[in-house]
Amino acid sequence: MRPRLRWPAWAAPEDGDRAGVAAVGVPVLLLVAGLALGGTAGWRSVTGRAAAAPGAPVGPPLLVRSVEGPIEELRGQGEIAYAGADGVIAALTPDGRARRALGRATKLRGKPAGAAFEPGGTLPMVSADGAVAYGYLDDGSPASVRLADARMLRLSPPGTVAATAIRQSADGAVVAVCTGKRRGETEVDSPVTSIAERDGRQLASFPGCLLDLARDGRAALVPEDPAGASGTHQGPVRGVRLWRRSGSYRPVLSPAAAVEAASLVDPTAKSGNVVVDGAWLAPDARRALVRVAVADPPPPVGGWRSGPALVLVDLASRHWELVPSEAPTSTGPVLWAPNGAFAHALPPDSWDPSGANLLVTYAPPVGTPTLLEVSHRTDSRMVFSPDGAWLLLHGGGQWVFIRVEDPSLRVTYVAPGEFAGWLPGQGTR
Amino acid sequence: MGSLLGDADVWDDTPARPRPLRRGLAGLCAGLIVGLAVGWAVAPRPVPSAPVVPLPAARPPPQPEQGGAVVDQAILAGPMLATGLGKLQEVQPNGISARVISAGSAPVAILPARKGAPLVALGGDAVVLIDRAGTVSQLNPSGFRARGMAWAGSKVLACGRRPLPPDQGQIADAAGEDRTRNAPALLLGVKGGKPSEVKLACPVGSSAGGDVIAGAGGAQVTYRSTTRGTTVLAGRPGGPLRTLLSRAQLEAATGPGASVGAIAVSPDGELVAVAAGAAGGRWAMLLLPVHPAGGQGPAPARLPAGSRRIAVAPGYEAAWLGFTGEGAALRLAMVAVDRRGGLGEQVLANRAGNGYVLGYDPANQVAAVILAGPPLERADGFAFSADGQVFAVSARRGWTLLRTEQPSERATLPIGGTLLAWPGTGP
Repeated sequence: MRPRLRWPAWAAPEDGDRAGVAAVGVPVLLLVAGLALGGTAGWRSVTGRAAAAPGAPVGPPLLVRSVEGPIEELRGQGEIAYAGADGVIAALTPDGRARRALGRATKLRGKPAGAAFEPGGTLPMVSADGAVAYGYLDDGSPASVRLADARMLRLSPPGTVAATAIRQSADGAVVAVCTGKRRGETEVDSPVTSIAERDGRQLASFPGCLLDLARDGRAALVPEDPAGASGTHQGPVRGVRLWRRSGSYRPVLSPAAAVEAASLVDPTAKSGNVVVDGAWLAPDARRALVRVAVADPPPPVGGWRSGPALVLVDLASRHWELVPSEAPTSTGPVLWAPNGAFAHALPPDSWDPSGANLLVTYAPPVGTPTLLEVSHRTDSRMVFSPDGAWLLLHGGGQWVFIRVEDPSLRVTYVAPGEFAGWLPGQGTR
Repeated sequence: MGSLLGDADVWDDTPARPRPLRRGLAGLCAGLIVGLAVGWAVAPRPVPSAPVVPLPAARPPPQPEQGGAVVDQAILAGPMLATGLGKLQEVQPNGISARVISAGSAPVAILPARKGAPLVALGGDAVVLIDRAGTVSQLNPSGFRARGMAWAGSKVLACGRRPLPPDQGQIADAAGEDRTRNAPALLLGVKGGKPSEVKLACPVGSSAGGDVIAGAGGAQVTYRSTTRGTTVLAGRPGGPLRTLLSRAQLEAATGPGASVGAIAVSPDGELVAVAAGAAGGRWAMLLLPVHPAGGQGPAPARLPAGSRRIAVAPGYEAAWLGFTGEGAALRLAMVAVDRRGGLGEQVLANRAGNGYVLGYDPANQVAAVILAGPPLERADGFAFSADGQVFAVSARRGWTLLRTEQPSERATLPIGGTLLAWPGTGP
């Protein structure tokens, strides 16, 4: 029988217990230490040193392209809603750091009958809270789309179309549409303005098309002679008055005053040939800008045509004064800022081969006007930021932001889509 | 315990030594490997950091386009004459180069250049000649304080005033009024000779050849601290003058107390443009034919046949009138500036207010504002180029050039000084 080999039982040396503890303890301790060191090294190999020493925060990626200028200056300026090519309405913080989808408004592809050439007339405009888009269906009727669920609401009776662009109050809670039955390509019979809440509940209506809606939605600039506008078709506007939701009217610029204003520029102005081609109500509804011109002026000779006159009217006193503004070839947009400033543009001739400049005159609430020049630009569509500090030129595939108090401070980048509204607030990051 | 014989060297029943260090090192290594693996496995993976898109370096803010085409056109038109810092300079429209013509005089007006003739300038209450060497010689007699001038054939028509006698001057001073009184204009020979009087008051104007002259006349009425004429007369130099516009017509077209503020005669001498109004009252620009069809209008207060009236914005007054071109290419520009409140007493260069330039095409009766707003703030000099292609305005913030037929095409140049004239050729 093969002897059975066994490890002899370890006999502790004489100082036995301590040596035994060491023989077991040292390997165990070193094993544990190895585990700890190895574990730590393995952990750090994954997590790196960032966990131990946090560095500078890394900002979110920039979502816009071809940026020029200090885009960080636009932080905190709310969001800009835009419509993408796929019909998705999104909102982008102007500093290009955050974006969110608001919804789809693919059905709003039409344009109002009477605004075939109105800039932006074919694009939906988003309410200030980003909840609703207003636009036109293919047949030209006005409609709203709740962006959260794409629920559509017609804003006029069936068979009617929008005569002019939809106007909304500053908060988007009140919307005004002028609609009627289409006659021909661009005309509308018996247009009626309807002022309603966004859910469609009508607040008021009156014959004729409004010229502008007050910021709070409680008043509107309307033609002086509603008979001309509410007759068989939309007639020329000879004067302007203020409609208030209470149903009362007050004169703003009478037809006689319109003729007098037009004659400051055009000596052929006379009663019957002067029309109002635009009116804009100040945010405080105490002043209005009205542009008057001679209707059917002689055909342009050389580079000139008869120019319009832009007048500023104080609604309380009905005193008006000329706002010197150039428009020898084409008229540009006029707009108020929320702080009471206003701007008007002189677009260059689009065919000008020399690369013409867009000229924007900015009239601050107090002080003398300043001139903002934008090189090589013909598209004069523009909008103020919610606080009035920035002017955004949003046409032409490129957004140009100009700080109105310091016009040398500009930011430009490629437009991510078609502008659909500048929403107040801090934006969602 | 037993033992096998003969195998004493093979079998060793001595218990092995524990070798704790070796075992410990082996354990350490094993622990390191296992710990590394476990630590790597269980460590939480951080969210991948956001890709950082490098921002392109911020370029300097875009400078206003210099309107190269307009500047090129202006360079073709030739040099301008400007004054500033006590000297008269010839300035190239690109704003780069300038040549001092006269270092000792700073005129306020220059007559259009005539071939072979020295430069005729108005400054320091005198009409002066400036030759190529910059030497200045006075044309008008002493005691005549020239305020305006125009060519009248080969002579110079100078309008002005004469000082009041000392006792009346003191009274006028105390009342804050002008120490001068109106005086007949003088026809001054460029090569000397005795001046002859013409019954015209300031302002005066003439056609391109100087064969038609026009000026204010009639009773003098108060205009701020001085006086101005209330009628408009026109005729040939040395010949009889005809009243183009009576005081009644002037007041009917503008307002009571109106006086003549500016006059320009078209280059062909067929039209006279008049800007008139009262201080603080309504102003208007009137375009009058020198040879009205059918003579004077039947009613004394009606404008002559063929006349045009363009009202000036309330509170604004005309600061300058000028023609360029002829026939169908005739163009008229009127500079209207805000004179409300404290702006009324300020000289143009200090007037921080609004203004506009109204362009008028008489042949087609087309009018439009061709320049307005900020370029007119502190604007103090205005001129068409000699070829009429470009209109220029000098102001503290820089000079604005715009193409006459395409006014939205413009350039702003960092030129200092006051634009006096744009003769297109040097003296």
